Amino acid sequence: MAVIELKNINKYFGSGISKVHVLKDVNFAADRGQLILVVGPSGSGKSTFLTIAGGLQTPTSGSVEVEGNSVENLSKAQRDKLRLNQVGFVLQSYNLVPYLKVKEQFDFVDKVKHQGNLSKEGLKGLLEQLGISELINKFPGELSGGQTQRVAIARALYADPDIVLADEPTAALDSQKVAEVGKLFKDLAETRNKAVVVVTHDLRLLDFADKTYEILDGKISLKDKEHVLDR
Amino acid sequence: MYLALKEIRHEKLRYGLIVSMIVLIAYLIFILTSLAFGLAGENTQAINSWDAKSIVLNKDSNISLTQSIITKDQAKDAKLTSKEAVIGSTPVVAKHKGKEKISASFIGARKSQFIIKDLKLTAGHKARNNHQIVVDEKFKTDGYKLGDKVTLNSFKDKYQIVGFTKNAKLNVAPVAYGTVSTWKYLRGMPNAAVTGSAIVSKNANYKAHSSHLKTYSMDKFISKLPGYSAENTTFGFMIGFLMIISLVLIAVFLYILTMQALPTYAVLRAQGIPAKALVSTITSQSLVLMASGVLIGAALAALTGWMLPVGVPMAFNIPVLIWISIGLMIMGVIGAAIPARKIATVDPVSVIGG
Ligand SMILES: Nc1ncnc2c1ncn2[C@@H]1O[C@H](COP(=O)(O)OP(=O)(O)O)[C@@H](O)[C@H]1O
Ligand SMILES: [Mg+2]
Repeated sequence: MAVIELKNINKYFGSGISKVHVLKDVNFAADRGQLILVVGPSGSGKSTFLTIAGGLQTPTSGSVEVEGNSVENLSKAQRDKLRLNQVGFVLQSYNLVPYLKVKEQFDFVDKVKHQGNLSKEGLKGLLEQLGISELINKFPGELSGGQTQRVAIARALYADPDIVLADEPTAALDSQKVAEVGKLFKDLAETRNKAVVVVTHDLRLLDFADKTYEILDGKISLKDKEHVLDR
Repeated sequence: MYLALKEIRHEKLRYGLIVSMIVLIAYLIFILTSLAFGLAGENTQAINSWDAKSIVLNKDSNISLTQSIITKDQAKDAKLTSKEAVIGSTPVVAKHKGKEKISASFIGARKSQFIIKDLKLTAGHKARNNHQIVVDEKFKTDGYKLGDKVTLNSFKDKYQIVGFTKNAKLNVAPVAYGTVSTWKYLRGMPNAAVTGSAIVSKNANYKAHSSHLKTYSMDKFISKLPGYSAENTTFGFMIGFLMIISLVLIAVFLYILTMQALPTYAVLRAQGIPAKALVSTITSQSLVLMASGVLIGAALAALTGWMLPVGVPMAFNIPVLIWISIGLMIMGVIGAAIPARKIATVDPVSVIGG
């Protein structure tokens, strides 16, 4: 069963003549253990799609289901809880609290979410898998772009969510780092049995995807990656 | 609290600067308050020591003790019990060769009535004749001793200091207690048919039964002491203003920091951190800043009080200072309210996309 599913999502912004139809009948499903890529040019509606999937915005019509439960019936507080427990976000920037050392980023999660986080050993394993064990006493300001993104991924996975949603996670990285992060996402999806959804205009990530959607002008379609590359 | 303290620890310079501003303001408030109480005390100490509830003055005296004269005729129907005492008051300058002149408030009163009867001496004895006086200890700190014979104003007569008393100040001048006859003499009317300047009573509803006299409550009388209300209003105004400055200061500071950190707060909200946790962060930061500022300010004020020369009228009224500290903490909470609102309403979507 799909761990997250979007059904017939439409999203309009504005009203009257300035009304824009940003998402058009979007259907989408993601399974555990897979890295799902949603690619599309800038302005095509990727971020809007991701925020609706993560319960940060409500669609104008259609429904979002996480583990079979529809998100639109949840209260604001319940949505906070959903994001705290079941969804991990990795964003382009600002992922880390600037005045907390790397290890304190995880301590802080413990303060807010009292159970269901990775164990000490679990975190140790995760940091090793991500190759950032040596960084735990550094502040975010002391990390390189690639290191920052890997710590952000660890931060998102620490709460042990079912779903990881990433928006342009490679925007600030060079090609070699992009490949590393792409491989990481794929490995994490597989070894930790997560549904990892990455929205990006960065086609360099295509090689790592298990499933690729393309979004153009708010319309989403499932593609095989050769087809996307053909364009 | 976790984030609050971590941030303060990480940004020592920033928070150190704001705390030092709060220290200065809190210090100024504490010193001003203590000065206000000190000065108010020097205005009223003597009156407070009488423990009287009301005072009868000539109704044309404009509630001024030194302007008031009560004639024997006006006082003929006034019943004086053990709760009443007649006083005659006039400002004097005390002189003694080789010593500093002292501006004092002379108060003439009857031996048999409560003002003199209840007078507590720290040394010597009470006045036994018209040429003896009991004076406030300020005379002692200025070098006067028991047995010294002083002149008052420009009269030739000598008055012997036979006793010292504590906390006897009126109109910011030390009091010299003598007899009513001496007072009449000093006022230049030794043989006039005059009772005194006023009748004070421990009875709040005392009536003198004369159309020329009027009874005022002690509080009213004190509020009309020369300069007393103006002084207290000025101090109150300054203290209130400093409170508001502290409020604006902390609000602006926290607001700027919050606006800078808004993307981080937005991401934390996206990650499902409850708004409540973030709002409590900024509020506890504000409280920590205010509390450290107030504590250091209080320590400095105490140090100042300890080092100041005796002459400076400072009275540390601890309950009032505690209330002021609580007031500053409340300012901190209010100051955090605007940034807290910003944080509570930040839209996580604003940082996603770009
Ligand atoms: N809050 C909004 N109000 C109005 N228009 C918006 C809003 N958010 C996004 N849009 C519009 O929706 C379209 C898709 O935006 P977005 O989802 O950010 O695209 P992408 O992430 O693919 O670049 C853009 O044309 C953008 O201007
Ligand atoms: Mg985007």
